[in-house]
Amino acid sequence: MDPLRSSDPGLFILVALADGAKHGYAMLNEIEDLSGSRPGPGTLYGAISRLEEHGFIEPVETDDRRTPYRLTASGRRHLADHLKAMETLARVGARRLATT
Amino acid sequence: MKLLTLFYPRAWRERYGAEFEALLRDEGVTLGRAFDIARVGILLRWEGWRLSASRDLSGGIDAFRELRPLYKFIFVVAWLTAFISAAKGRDLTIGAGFLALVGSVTGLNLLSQARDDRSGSRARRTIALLLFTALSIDAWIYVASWGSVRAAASRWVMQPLVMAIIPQTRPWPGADRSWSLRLGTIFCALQLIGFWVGLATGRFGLPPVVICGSIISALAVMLERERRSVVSNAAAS
Repeated sequence: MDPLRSSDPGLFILVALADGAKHGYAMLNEIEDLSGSRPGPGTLYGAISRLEEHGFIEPVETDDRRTPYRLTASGRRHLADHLKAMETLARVGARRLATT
Repeated sequence: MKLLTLFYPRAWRERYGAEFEALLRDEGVTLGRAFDIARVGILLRWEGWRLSASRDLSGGIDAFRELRPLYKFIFVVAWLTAFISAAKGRDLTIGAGFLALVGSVTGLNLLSQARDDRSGSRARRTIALLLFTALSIDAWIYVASWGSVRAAASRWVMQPLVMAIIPQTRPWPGADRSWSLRLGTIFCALQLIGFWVGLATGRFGLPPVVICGSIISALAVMLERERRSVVSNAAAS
């Protein structure tokens, strides 16, 4: 199952991590800024565990209990592909809207 | 907060529990968040169960392919009888049939795992015992269905054991002798014969199974004696 669907917080997590490692609380703030709504902690960690399972993100070693996560090379590639597909979709959709 | 994490699978809690609790401390727990935590926990549990069930099933299918024809026959009959019992529409029967299926699939999976490791003989013993349990449950399904529910208190304990292990035993007085039940009993007898033939031919001829079978057989003989005394007392009075 692809953990990146537009309705899935997984996509927002990857975007949030695109500019560097973040822990859960920082991810929630970032997702709230990006999407306008704050996901629940269960939703966030459910998505984190799925993304880690797919090898898209990995924890950063720390002594703090709040573990930061960062993108892996595979996660970065997957995000880039997904954003490209979304970009194409948005461009085609906008063009068709403009012609009607 | 710790209580809320109990919704999540143990492996998940071991991996993410500490950091998840740290996040909950930062965020605070409202009613909406508690609902979100419970919802995702239940979904993760369901997902884990679904994956492991699918792995068990595929392991079971692999093992089934490698079974000798005799054991394939036994398992096919076990499935068939479970379907027939489900078709009869009794809650008890469906439950027992389901247990028999789970026993069979788990046993097959164990056999599959036993192929490559050194604990193979132990796993084979386990599958043999599981198979025997499944078959006994199947036997019990049919024999326990004979007669009315009111008279079942003794029948559900004694009659199933006696009838399963000594197929020639006649049913209790007043029992229902419908064809579906007779058919079920024939299937059941076939399974048990298949099982004992399997033991005799060697592959499942393992001491624990033999001991287990002997104990049950001895018990059946004792119960048969008791049954006869009950019947003769009833006839005398």
